[in-house]
Amino acid sequence: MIFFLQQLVQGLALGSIYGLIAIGYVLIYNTWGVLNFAQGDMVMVGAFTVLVTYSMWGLPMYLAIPLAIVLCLVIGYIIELTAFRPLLNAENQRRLIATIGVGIFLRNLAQIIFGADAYPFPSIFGNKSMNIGGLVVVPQDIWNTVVGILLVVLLMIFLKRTRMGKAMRATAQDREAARLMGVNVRNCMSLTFVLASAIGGFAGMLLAPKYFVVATHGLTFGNKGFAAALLGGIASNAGSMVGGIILGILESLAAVYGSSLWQTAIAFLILFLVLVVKPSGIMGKKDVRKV
Amino acid sequence: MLELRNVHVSYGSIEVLHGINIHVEKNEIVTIIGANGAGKSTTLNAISGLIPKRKGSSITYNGMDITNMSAETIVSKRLSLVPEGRRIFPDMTVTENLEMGAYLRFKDKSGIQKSLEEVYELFPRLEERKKQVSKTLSGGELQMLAVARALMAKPEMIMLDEPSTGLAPLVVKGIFDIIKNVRDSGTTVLLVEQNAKMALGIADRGYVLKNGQIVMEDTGKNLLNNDDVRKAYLGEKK
Amino acid sequence: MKKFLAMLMTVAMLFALVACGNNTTTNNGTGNNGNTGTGDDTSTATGEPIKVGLFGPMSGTNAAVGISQEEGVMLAVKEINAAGGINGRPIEIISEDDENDATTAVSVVNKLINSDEVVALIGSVNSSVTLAAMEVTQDVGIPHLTAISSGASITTSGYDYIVRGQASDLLQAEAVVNYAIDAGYEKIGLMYQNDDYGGGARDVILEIMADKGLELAADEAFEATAADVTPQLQNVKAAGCDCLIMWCMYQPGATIANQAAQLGMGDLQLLGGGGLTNAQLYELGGENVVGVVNSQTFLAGADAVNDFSAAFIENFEAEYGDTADSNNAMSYDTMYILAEGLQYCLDTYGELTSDGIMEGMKSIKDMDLATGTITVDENGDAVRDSILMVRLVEGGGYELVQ
Repeated sequence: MIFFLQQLVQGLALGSIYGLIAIGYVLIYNTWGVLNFAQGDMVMVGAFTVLVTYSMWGLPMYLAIPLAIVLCLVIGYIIELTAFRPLLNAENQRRLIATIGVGIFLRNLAQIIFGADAYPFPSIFGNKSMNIGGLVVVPQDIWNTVVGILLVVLLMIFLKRTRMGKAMRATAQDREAARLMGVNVRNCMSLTFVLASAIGGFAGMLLAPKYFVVATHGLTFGNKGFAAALLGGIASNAGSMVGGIILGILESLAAVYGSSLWQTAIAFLILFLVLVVKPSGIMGKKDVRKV
Repeated sequence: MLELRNVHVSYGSIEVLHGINIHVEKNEIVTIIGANGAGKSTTLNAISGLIPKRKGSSITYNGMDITNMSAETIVSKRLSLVPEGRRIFPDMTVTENLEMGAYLRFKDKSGIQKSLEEVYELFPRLEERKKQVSKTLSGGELQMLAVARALMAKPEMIMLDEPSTGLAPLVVKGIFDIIKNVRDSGTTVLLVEQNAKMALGIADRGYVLKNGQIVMEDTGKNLLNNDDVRKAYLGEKK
Repeated sequence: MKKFLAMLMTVAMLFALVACGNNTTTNNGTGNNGNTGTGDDTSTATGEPIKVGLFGPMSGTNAAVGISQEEGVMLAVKEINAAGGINGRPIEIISEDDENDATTAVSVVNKLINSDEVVALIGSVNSSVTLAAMEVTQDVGIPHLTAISSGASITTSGYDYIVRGQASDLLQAEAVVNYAIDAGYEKIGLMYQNDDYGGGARDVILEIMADKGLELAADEAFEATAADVTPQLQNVKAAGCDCLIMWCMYQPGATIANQAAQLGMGDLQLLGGGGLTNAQLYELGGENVVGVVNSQTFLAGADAVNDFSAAFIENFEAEYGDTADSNNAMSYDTMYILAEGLQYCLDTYGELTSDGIMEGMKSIKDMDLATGTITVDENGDAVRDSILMVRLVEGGGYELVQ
């Protein structure tokens, strides 16, 4: 029993980060109508920005992280300005290809600047394992889970309760009608994108201590986040966290009780099943148009 | 209050409005009638700032030149549009939709509250459903919501694009009664309609739009009694 | 404004693609002053250059090893050319990045053979990648050496044109398993990376253990690129293993060590093969990898096995300002093995032919090289007296265990 619980604990920790990455996909998909295949690479960018501010510039952690987040916001804005905004009214295929291009660009840029090897990153909350009632837990994992879920909840509150959040939702649901309400839609869409980029970047910062900082991590984690987003329902914000946690736990269970080779396959298997059986995902609505 | 002079609009290389001239005075109900494809919606969309106008066009509102203003800015000038097809926010509740209508009035919290109450008085059905997600509303309720939402902005002038579309006759009558109410409480109305009979019935003045050009302009009553109008738009045989 | 930005974006993307395309020059910034070429500007060899292709991972997970490979080879080339080359002809290295990917390796090898017309090839690091390249070199019939790949099947699958400078996994896995058994571990677990390198070693390990009537307590696979191996480690923990053989490269090795510590398995003895050898293992794993014992063909700290080796250590330090690791040493030796083959071929046949070069290399017997006294057997394996077992100590250095 303890063994099973341990799997859940592991899956929960990793899954919350998948959820954070997933919500980036969901935010952008609902507002821009396009799947941002560079979202995973934003995660990688986040890890590298904090590597720079903390390990290379030597700032203390409480400065390094906020500064790194600011850098992610700026990079997100540049990407929106150069790759997304010009293609606002282009066909969906073109926009999709643009996102793939952005991803390749970011990955290669990271490799040019930092090389292809992995960089270690210290854990802020400690990597020493603790024993809690028979379960082995690492503080970093607890932190990741709590922060991951908290961020998503905060985001949902922001969207539901604040004026800016409502404007973003309105823009996502009907851009033209939002304009007729007086909403500056262009700013809204920029904000959505920049926000998604920063969230993705922050997920990268949470990943860095446990999984190193590697230029190619964007691909690995991006795919997981995407699968989680689809699983939870691409149109649902809450769904992304639900999907993420389910995916994390399934991966853990599959590898432990099935074969370890299932670990990576699970994400793709889920992607496939969701698309075939219920494209709108666990919490999605029935009609799924767009791409 | 609102004046269109020589307004040309093109979709790509095809010109759809060929230099139309329209004016609306304070507290009037003015209607534009015409067949499908005549350019009625285009006219309202052009005024609202959603589509660009060709050079030489002029649209003034309260003395301001709004020809090249963005839609968001025009709304802030207290000119609201109830668009064709309602365009309410489907995943937001009735209340949330109404609050979006008052988006620009965010500083005036008590004023917004008052407007909500007024709107619920006008549309008791909406109050019953105020926590419901709007995509579950019926056609008539959606139309009410769309009008109510536009009123939440406390506009000086409201434009409606084919409010009768897809609604049962009884519901249509209800909507038109409300439009009269709206005018009576001080808001100017520009109404674009397929249902020429109902529109001309409440309008002070009307324009007939045909193939992107104004072909007739007169009082509502006169247009109702006009033979050509009756033949073409009121479905009556000679 | 939009157009300008779009143009800027396009230019930036093109730049990125061009700059990261197959690198034909070695810009790794590790003090290597000889890029594509003869390793030195003042070579005394002036005849027609002998072109040799070099391919390895210069980007991707094993980039550090790709760089190590290049360093070793280039140092050897520099020395050989300074001594007059092969009958007055300098060796010219043309270097390519295979991105640690089999498909890229194949295309890179084709380019080296057809476009650059090399007479022999050295590469790669990952066994699966090397095997993929061997399909081409076998087909074309061109001498192919690998300095780092230890996958057993490389020399046991009947390929005629392969020579391997590394100690085969047959030897390495055997050394590791025997070490574990001799050291008294009773529940031996295995985690292997899911490719020819890990899978090949697994086969050897299973066979050796079966011979001794033993079984693995845990047998877990994982993707080399996987970031999270806690499920596999959970199984290892549940099986009550007292030692874990991890047959993988240095980055997954560090990952395993770190995540094992996080699961409270810090006391588990970790063992592995030569793939773990790299400074990055300590950089990424820190305290958690101290105590790891792995098989190796070379250790600079130990007493030099022969004068050639001592000289190599000195020259490497002088050239790169760093202590040589086993990957450097084996790459260095592999280049010397090839040089021997080239020399033999020219002396015996007067011209360079694939079969002549192979004959020359396979006739190497008891040659003193940096990693020991080498004899090349009929399968192309460089056989040497013994495999070292080394332990990683505090600070990142290695000490000899046996």
